[in-house]
Amino acid sequence: MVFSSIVFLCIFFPIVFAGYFICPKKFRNLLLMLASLVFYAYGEPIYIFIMLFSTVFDYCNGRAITYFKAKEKMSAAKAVLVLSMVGNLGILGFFKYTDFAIGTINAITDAGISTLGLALPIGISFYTFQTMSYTIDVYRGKANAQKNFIDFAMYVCLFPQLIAGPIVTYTQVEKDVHRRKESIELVEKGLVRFSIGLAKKVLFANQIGAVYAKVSGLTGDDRTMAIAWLGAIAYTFQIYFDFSGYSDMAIGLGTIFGFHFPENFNYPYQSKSITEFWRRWHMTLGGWFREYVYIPLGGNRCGFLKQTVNMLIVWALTGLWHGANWNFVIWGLYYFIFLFLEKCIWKALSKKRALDKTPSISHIYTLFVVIVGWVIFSCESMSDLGNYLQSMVCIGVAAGNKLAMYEWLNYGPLLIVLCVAATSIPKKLVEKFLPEKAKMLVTPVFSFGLLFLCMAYLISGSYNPFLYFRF
Amino acid sequence: MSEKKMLSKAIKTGYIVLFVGVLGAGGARITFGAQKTFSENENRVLTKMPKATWTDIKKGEFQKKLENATCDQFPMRDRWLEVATCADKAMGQSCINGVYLGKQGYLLEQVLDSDLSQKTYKNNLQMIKMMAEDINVDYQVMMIPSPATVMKCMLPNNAVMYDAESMEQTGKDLFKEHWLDVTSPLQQKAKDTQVYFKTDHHWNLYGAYEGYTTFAKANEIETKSMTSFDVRIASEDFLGTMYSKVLTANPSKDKLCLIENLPENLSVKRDGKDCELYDLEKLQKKDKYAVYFGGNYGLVEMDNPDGAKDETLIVIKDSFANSMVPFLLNDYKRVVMIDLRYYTSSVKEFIKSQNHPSVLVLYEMSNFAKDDHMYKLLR
Repeated sequence: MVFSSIVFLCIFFPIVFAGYFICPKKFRNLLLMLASLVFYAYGEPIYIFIMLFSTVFDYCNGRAITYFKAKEKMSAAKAVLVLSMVGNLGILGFFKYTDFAIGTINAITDAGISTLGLALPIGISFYTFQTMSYTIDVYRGKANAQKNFIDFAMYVCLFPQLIAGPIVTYTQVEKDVHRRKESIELVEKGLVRFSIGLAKKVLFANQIGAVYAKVSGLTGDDRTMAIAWLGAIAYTFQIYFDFSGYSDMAIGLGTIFGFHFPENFNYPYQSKSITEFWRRWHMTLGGWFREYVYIPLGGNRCGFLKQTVNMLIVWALTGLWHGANWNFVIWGLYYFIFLFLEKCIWKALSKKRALDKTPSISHIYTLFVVIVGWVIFSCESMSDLGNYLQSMVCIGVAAGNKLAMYEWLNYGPLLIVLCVAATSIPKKLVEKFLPEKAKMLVTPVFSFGLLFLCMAYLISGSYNPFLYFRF
Repeated sequence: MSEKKMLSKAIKTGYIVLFVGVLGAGGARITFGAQKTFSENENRVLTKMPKATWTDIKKGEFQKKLENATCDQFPMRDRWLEVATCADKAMGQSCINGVYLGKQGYLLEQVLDSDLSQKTYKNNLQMIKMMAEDINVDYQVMMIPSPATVMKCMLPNNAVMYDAESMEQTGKDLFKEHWLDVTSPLQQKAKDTQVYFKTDHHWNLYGAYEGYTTFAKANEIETKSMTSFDVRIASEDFLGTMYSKVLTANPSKDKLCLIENLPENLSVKRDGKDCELYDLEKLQKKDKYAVYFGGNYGLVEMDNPDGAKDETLIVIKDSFANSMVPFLLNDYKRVVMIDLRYYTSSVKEFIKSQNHPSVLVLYEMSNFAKDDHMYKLLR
């Protein structure tokens, strides 16, 4: 089930909401767990068993690690940890990367091995990372093993963040799982956040996403440099508003039920360097890789060369995490190059304060790299990617034509709105010009307005894709 | 608690109850309310709430139907669609759901060069030629241009359509004297008369009349004036297929006209069964264009013993022909329409079996360029 659907909004959510607040406190975790299972089974009636296996598996691993640690059998505890890693990564690898590996082997050796054709279980990359963080943190002593199976299962499959993040590590919500305070203030805050996220997805991402879908379907003389750039910019906005909208909805839903989820996006397109961009984009994923891969590998403590190798590993993995295809690996390495270059040049430039003097140039540089990055991300075949990049630099196509002009003008107003909406300007304006008293009334009215418009688009069944099926 | 805090809490509670309540009420209405089966405005069957069975759930069929049903059955669905269109318009968009919001209320389908394959278009044309040359039958080809390519001035500013002129040229080059150019007369006529519907993709009776005169002139048939056909307005509130795609508030409703001066002894058969030329019941429905012959059928045979020419005119066509063919009924003893989408027998054999046959291939151009039934001509 996806949040941006009438089934979720009008059937699932009202029932769960009412049920949750009628339910006595001690059964609320059970209720959330059951609701989450229904939520997941709706999309994956078969693959739900993989998630259930992961849950039971890591619940047992957590208990076993605690048991061995209490008996001071550290090697046994470590063995369980390794088992957990192998199990989790094994499942993820099997479902997500087997066909990719077979395809690559076939391409290199002409072996002609037939692929498995497995569909990727929804959200597997997200919940696997969550359960892995749990066993690792229990082993490290950062978290206590959860004895109550229902509480643990609820953490793993909690429907707000189950299928598209944010990636919530166990330590971040441990307190909330046991003891959380729901309140009218939190519910209100959560609903407002949810409606903003829904609007980002339905009103912004879907509308501009339709442009990219259309542009990538153009052939012949309809393809021009101008329209290729429109498509790339449209996709850049689509993926941001889709993903951050989804995170807003997840965080909002969490807030309604009293959870405090970590933030996932912090106006990434305002960044003035790629380094900054990745501190603001999908923050929970970056945090996860830093915490569980980069730092354990030695981080930046073992000299420049080792650090560079560590970065390379992290970015190849980050790319691969986004999808089992070479374009994602290239996309990850593409960012590694820029991050590496920035690391080398940064110090020199910041000493001279050159960057502070040229904020607009650094901003344009960052956006340019990011936009080209999304083109790599979106083109799954190398020939598509090559063609698209060629169009963007005006090779083999005209610079523009009437169609390109029409589409630019047609979507111009929307693009301007999106440009503003992707920055912190609206938030700052509200803070500056809207007095607290007025906020009390304006906020709910605004939220209703967004909900009303979103409902209109959802009912009319306009373009509404789900982008995370590869993650 | 201070007064301000109490007020704030009251507003928040009201907001929460309303937010979840409205969503829940919508859900309850969808689930338990009466189910609608057909949308007149959108001209399509609506999905009803599905029954849950394990096989359907396992395959995801149940979920898919449920997603569709919740949208289709939502209370006041048409109004919601209008809101969405209105919001798109407010964002300055002049093309919604593949339809240009043109001037003077024209809703014009956007068809780009990318939507059409020149290869398919040429292949389709080639198949006509091969068929006609193979059985050595007299034939003509007429491609009706899409409304927006004729009425460019009605398009939104800067809007683009496929290159109809070059496709016209392709046809001319291939067919020479067999090609009938209807684009120029339509363009000429469109300057002072409405020749296409505003809310539908078809030509109206005046457009069809231009088709008739073009054909008549090429075949040495005396063209009669429009008034001599005794035109009657059959409906004044026709909202066609383009409207179904955008559902704008306050659309420009179209007039649908019929000609009354028809042969007295005309008999019409649809797929072998007797029927009327005009299926007037269709005027009460949404898709009023289906008034001609009740819609599209594989084989429609019209016999007029008083017809001027002792020949059989075979029209291989799409729905555009339905409003033009009535003009020709006085001139032929027998006119037959074949719609390749529904006709399953051999077209060649059929043509050979007719008395003095001649063939007219009559399609809307972009429709023809996308058509994948032309191979049936060669069977």
